[in-house]
Amino acid sequence: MTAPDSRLEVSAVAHPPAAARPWGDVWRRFRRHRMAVVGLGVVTAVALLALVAPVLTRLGLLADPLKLDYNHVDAGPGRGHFLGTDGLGRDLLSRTMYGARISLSIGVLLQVFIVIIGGTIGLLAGYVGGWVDSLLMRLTDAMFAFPDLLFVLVIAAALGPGYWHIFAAVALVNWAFLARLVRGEVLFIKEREYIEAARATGTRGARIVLRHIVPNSLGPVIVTLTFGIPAAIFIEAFLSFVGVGLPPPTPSWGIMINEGYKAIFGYPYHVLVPAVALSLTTLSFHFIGDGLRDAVDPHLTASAS
Amino acid sequence: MATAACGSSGGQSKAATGFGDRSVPKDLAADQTLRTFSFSKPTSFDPARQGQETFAGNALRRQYAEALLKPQPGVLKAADLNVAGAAAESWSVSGDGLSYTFKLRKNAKFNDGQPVRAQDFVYGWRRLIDPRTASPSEGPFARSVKGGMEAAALGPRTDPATVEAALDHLGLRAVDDQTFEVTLGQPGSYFKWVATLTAGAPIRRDVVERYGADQWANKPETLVTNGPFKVADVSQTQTTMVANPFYWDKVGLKRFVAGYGLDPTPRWTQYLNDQLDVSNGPGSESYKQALDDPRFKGQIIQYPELSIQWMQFNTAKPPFDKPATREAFTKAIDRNAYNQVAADTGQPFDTLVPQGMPGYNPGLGGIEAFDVNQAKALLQSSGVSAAQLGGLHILTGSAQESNALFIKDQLQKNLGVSVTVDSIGDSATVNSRTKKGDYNMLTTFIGHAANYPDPQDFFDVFLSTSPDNTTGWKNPDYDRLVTEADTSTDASKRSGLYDQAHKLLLEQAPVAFLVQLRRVFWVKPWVRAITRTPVDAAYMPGDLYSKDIVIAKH
Amino acid sequence: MHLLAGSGRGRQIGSLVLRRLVWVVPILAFVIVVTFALMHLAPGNPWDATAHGPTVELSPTAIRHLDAKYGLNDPWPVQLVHYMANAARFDFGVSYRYEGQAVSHLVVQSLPHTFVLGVLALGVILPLGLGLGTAAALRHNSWLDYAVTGLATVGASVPNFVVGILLVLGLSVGLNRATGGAFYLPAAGFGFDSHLVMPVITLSMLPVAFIARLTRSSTLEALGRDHVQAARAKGLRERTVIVRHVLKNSLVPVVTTIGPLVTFLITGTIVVEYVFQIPGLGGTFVQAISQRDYPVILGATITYAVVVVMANLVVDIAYLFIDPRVRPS
Repeated sequence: MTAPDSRLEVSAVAHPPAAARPWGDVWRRFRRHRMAVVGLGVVTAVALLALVAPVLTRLGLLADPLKLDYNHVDAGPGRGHFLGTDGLGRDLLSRTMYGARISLSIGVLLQVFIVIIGGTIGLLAGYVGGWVDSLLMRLTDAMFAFPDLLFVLVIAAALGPGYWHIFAAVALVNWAFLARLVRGEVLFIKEREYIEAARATGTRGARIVLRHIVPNSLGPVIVTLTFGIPAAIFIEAFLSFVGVGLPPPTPSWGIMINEGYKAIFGYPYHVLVPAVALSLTTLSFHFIGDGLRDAVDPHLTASAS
Repeated sequence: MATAACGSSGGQSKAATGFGDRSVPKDLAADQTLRTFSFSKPTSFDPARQGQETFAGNALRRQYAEALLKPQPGVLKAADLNVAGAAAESWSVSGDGLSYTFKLRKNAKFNDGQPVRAQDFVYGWRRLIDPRTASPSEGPFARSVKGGMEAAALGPRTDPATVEAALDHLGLRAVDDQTFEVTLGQPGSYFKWVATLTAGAPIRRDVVERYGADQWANKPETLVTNGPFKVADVSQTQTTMVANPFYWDKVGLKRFVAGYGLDPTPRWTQYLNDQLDVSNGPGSESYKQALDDPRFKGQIIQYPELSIQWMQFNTAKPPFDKPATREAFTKAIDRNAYNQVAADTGQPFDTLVPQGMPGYNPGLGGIEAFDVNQAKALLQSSGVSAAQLGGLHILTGSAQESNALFIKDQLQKNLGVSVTVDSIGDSATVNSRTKKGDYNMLTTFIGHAANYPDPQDFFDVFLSTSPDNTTGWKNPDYDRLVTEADTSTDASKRSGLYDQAHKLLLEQAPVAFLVQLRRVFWVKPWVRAITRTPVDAAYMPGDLYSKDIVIAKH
Repeated sequence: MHLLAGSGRGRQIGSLVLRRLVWVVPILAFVIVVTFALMHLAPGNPWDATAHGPTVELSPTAIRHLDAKYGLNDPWPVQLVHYMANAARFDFGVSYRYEGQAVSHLVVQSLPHTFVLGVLALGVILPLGLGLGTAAALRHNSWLDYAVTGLATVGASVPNFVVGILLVLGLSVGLNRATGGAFYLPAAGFGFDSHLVMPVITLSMLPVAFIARLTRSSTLEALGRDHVQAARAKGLRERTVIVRHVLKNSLVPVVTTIGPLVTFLITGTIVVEYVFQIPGLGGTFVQAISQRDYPVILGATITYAVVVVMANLVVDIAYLFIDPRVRPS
């Protein structure tokens, strides 16, 4: 997910994690972050548009994003086509709204994949320690030392275009950062007294992980994942733009940008519409990420405001 | 014995109407440089290692390498076109049509000043047919020269002595330094056109052996060729050629620069800012606006290209193993609407041979023509209903996606068959699936583009032995008719045979012919004396006679 | 005292370099194996990839000759072993696409374009990011501060290929229209002139934004520290306080991000070279993938790996000189 982006972001929070925070506090502090609230609003709106798009299509209020309307090719914004149509007479508004479904679902679902892979490896490394830890950490080093886009491009070319192929390509490459983070949290929390206490009372390993380590490391992980969403949206769009992401005619923003770019002289808004949608969405997720980071980590908020 | 003598070429072009003033100007620009484009950096400058003659990635070859003959200058209709002399000043053919003798120009020289000799042609052609060269252009040469097919078919395990022996048996002979004689396996009146292909340019054995077969063409200093220009510099962004001082004819243009790039957008900005003299427009949809834009009045040169766009069926797999199903599908596509919406630049077309070419037969136009009722009836007669035809896919490169989507729409509307479009950006995937037969229908940008204006060039594509035939369609009757026509020396008998083969092909419908494409160029008004031919390259009009182009003062 | 510290540092550097260099070999081996396996997983072979336009079909015999010539008939693990053996002798083979051209030659030809982009971007990123960040912090809560913070957030979140396309839209297409074709920025190609403007902006946007934000918050933090307050109380001139006590400390977190920044820039050049059709290493790499030019894909990947490892090594050595707190473990 060109995670250097999220890596850069999160590398700024590279300090010891704070103790468990009451989530009510986090929400209160998050609400104070005005732009984060705006971001949350925009993302909610985009998500709503994405959700209602098929309903609107069924009701006949929104055109089918794949329907070719040969009588209205390259039409400007107007009646019937609110944002106009592309070179095949497909409705741009509809394609943009359906594109949101793809971007959001990929952005969010990918984080699940990354949590599963990265979280497991991180927990394993941190909790078990010893040679398992060294081995896994050397592996993350190797993944980390390397521009992930290279691998993503090769994997995407090897697998061919496809929705799940993007997950595979991106998740296979981007678990390393989260694994590191989780491992760090685990190591830190492992030293703390209540774990010692739990151990002393004979609580089993798995329960310790579930009861104490997972909830305690949740904050930084959520911040990382929030920044991971726009990065994942970006990588899907870029892969689709390059032609190794989703297969056309899927209404993905990356594909729309690719198609619009070809018509940039005659119909600049063909590229502008998806570009703005994409930028606005990633921007909003960044605002949310900023808000969350500050909320989860009051230390930084204090110094930065 | 028929003899054609060809004098010096290079006629001045007339100012063609609608193309602006292209006459020779009084005042010339101080810098006689033409700045044009190529779709990509040539993968090799070795004439034998490039493919299709007019394709923009390869066609730079015509500037720095010269074949025996050349299409006549200034004749715009392909059916009227004849050959003119290039490195050869005259040629003759024996009465049985089997032996061609080319007399080379005494003053034809390589760009290092050495004379072009018949031995250099023998070596060049032998090397082209040598299977170890693995040339993408060997086809027309191997098929016509005596012993060519046998030699070209020798696999990698053959011992070198056997290969050399097979090559020694080729019908190629240097009678003396100035006389190059080719013996054909069978007569073929199209052969004069094979002699115009620059893949068959003379190659210097001493150069290849001294610098290595894989290396000699990689450096401008060692790229010894005989064209009007010589390659001076190959950078990551452009190829620069300069006039070859030893060329046998006058070369007016001093420099020829071709910048690489597939994407028309950046090229168009360069054209707008006078940094490029020739452009193919601003890209897919925007080009229509640019056609009407008064700013470009007199700058637009457009003409039908000798190439056909088609959709092919995988005839090896059901349901397209049945001719009736294929025919039903071909008749269900509205070519007019297709041309307007999807193809954009061309004219609706439903036969194999492009308009303007010999072999073009409008009388056969009805066979694949759009007719919904017939299409439905044909589908019914094939014994499968539309509902049973589920799960069909159209494979397409993403650049042709809009074409495939339109066809999908038509099949749905006219036959009630729903198909899926597999649009893949990666050409290796598309081609490997095509070759493996892992597809139902396939759309490509160009089905076939003429290498030269002889019907043989088109009909040979569908021979069962042709590597270009990826439809899986093999028809012994078609093979027999075409082979007979290819080898016939009687012009009227020949065209009758081709017509029969044509009809058979259209009835069997291994492909649905859709559109004859059109070329549109924007050329700056100061580019003058453009001498067009019907087989110009895809990157500029008049590329065969670019040596005559002059740049007016501007 | 100084001498001792110096030799200690020398030893530190020596061991760091040694450890890293030993580490390079397994990393490269890992990268080669993974890339090799993935490439051979991809459908099609080098002879299937047509540049574009009409398909030029090689005859089946020609393909068999090419396969034999390049050893593509062997099972891929065998090919991998051959490749590794050759690579160990610094022989990276020849391109399948550009016949007879050594991979090393193609890489060397394209690398300068990428390098120029990267260096120019760094030249923009560091002064601009640091300057904007510091200025915003020193004028805390002023319009300047808000402008920088706002721009930084936008810059950090708009995808770079979109930035590139929007620039083309504005500075090539729009400017051309607005000035009637008199002026515009070239949308593609490479040259040491206006060609570089849009690619460098595209490449530096995110890092500038990021570094500005980071500098701003670390400067604010430093401004609030006790010793700064103390220095002020002692009556030192504001300028002296800022240079000696604030800037020095606020630089520390910025320096720690230079490692990830270099990796980011390398990824960024791939995107930028694609959008602006710059024939650098990224362009060569992307093209080689689509053409299944296996040796070139590997050559480019190895080059990237070496550059990343070396850049990180240099950054780590720099850390040793800057601040003990950020020394690599």
